[in-house]
Amino acid sequence: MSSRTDPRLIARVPNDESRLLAAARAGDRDAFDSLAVRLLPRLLGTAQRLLRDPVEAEEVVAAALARVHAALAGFRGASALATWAHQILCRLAADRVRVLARQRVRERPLPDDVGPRAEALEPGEVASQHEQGQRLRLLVDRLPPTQRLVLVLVAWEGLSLRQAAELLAMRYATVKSNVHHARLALRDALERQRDSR
Amino acid sequence: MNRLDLDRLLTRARPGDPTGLVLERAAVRVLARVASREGASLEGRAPPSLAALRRRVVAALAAIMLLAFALGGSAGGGSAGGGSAGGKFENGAFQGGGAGGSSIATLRTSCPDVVAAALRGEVGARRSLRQAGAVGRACVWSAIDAGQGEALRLLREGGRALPEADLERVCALALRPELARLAVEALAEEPARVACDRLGRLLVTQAGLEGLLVTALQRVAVRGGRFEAVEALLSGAAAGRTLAARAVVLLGPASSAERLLVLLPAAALESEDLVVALAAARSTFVARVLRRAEAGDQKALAWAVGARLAACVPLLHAQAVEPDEQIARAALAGLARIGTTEAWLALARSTAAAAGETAHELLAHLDATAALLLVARIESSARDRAAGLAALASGGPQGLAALARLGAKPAFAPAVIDSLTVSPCRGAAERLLELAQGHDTALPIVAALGRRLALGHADAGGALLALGRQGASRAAVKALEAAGERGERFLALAALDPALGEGPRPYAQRGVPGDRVPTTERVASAGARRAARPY
Repeated sequence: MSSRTDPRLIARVPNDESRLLAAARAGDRDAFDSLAVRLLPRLLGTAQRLLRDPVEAEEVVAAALARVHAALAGFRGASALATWAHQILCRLAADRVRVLARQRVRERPLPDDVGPRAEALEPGEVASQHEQGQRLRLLVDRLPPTQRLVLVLVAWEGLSLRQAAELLAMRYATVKSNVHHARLALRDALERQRDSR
Repeated sequence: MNRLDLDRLLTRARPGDPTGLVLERAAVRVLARVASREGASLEGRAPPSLAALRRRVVAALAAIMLLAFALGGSAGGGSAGGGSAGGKFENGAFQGGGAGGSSIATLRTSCPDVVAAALRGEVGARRSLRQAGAVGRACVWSAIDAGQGEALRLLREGGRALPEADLERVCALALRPELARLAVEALAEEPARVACDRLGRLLVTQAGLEGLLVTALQRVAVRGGRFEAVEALLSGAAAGRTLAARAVVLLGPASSAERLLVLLPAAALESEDLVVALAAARSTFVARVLRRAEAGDQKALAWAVGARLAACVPLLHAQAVEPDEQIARAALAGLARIGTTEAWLALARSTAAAAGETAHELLAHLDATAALLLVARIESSARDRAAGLAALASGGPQGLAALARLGAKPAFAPAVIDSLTVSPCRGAAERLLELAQGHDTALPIVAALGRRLALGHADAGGALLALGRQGASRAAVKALEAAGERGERFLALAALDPALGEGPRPYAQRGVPGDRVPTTERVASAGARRAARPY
């Protein structure tokens, strides 16, 4: 059984989002919560991928939903509600990543905060695909904040470079170079690991 | 490693979206934070509790799951038991990705498959409907609205009580004749207080559903909601529902007897249903009704009489001997309606009162069974003997027949003759004649007939003439003479009859054998034998 809904099936679903949306705009709290619950899996996933901290992720999702609720009246429907909410979340998460990056520079995190080091893993575990994914996630986490933010948005959240630039209020070239450097750093790190085995 | 390899690795390493309990708990926390962040915009209303939020989240996630189930079923060739395309429940939590925008409209088009599967007993379908909460119920309702009444039982899948809105809809369904039974049964499955509240309201407003509703309330009572059920039934009884009142009699505590007496008119209490119910009611309930009757409640007395409760005979007898003839007649009618041996005895004891004529008239309708019972009582009870004989003497053909049979027994013959002498019934003289056939001598019967004639019963005159023709002509003529004016007509008839005018016929003409003809010697020796008896 697939863990995600078959797109063909979703395509057959007439959208009752508009009904819930109209009710939420009219002040129906239940309708808004129903909408929010439908958005939550994706929003929480995105927030956790961007922020790496579940508590921070929930805070940002809550802030994003509050903003969505406040701005519902102005939602014109140019895109799907999920896309619109996702953009708001990414913007807030990016701001939060920057704030946290500044705090971490000042605070010098304890070694425990960094998590298990990739070099400490057994060679046999590295061979498995699962462990390889985990190792790659650890490497992504160790990228500089801006590079990581851009890479996650582009590689994991499916945004184009232009969308990421717009969302992060950065120049297109800057985003593109950050993605490039992030990829280089990851490839170097992976090759170093392979050489060390 | 080229760029394509790196992108493939990156895609594979993408952390997934949260699922299951992690998602549920996070969702509850996030919604709580949203609510608290918007506290200023809630216009003074308290934010929802965590429990409420949790229910909301679980219901919404279940809705997504149910949609996935329905779509998966229809995509798989219409099999409702098919796999879920978008996720599944495991360990009570939703697993799998969000299904994007769900649609109740589409769900309803796929609903028949899911509901049909649930009605067939497929566990997956039933669980899906249950866990989908409001959406699941909407799915079931769409099937019910389409005429699938059996789906009503799916509304309570999992044993949970129905929400208020669903209760209203079930009540509305009860008004549709084809669904009334299923709807009423569904209401009866609710918790006692809710069920009785709804069923009671329907009972008051819907006379046509009385039978169904009363049965449902009785089921609730048996299930443990006796108090609530009786309250609902009482409200129905007050609205004129006789079956409800009958159920109260059978189910209710003793105190409900007093409430029924207040709520119902006398005519309703005396209806066939209620008197039968009272006759079958528990002793405590009956005792409460009798207590009210003893306290002077005429409705209670009438109800008890209708139920033929023997315990109200003393009350009725007390009223039957009152000077007020109207009250006495009503009491006598009640005694006749009860029809027990005690009641007939009480009627016989009331013949000397102001409404004695009515008592005689009622006694004349004595039936054969009652007459036999009275005979048994006369034979066994010296206290009731006089009243019993009087009842039989006034008891019409059946009473007289029983009395005649009793008179054949020597121990009761004198008392029976006395009773027949004063009997108001026309056939009493004939019964005396029958008794005369079995006696050694007809003289006591002749005397009784003479007294009866003197009392004004003309049938005794004819009987005396008949006895005279059989041999007791002198005694008969003497009795007619003693009867005064009432006997004159019969004396004239006797004068024209040669069998009576020439005195007693010779023993040979009467068929007496020669050795039995009383001679002076034989009479003397018989007298000596009697004198020689030790007792």
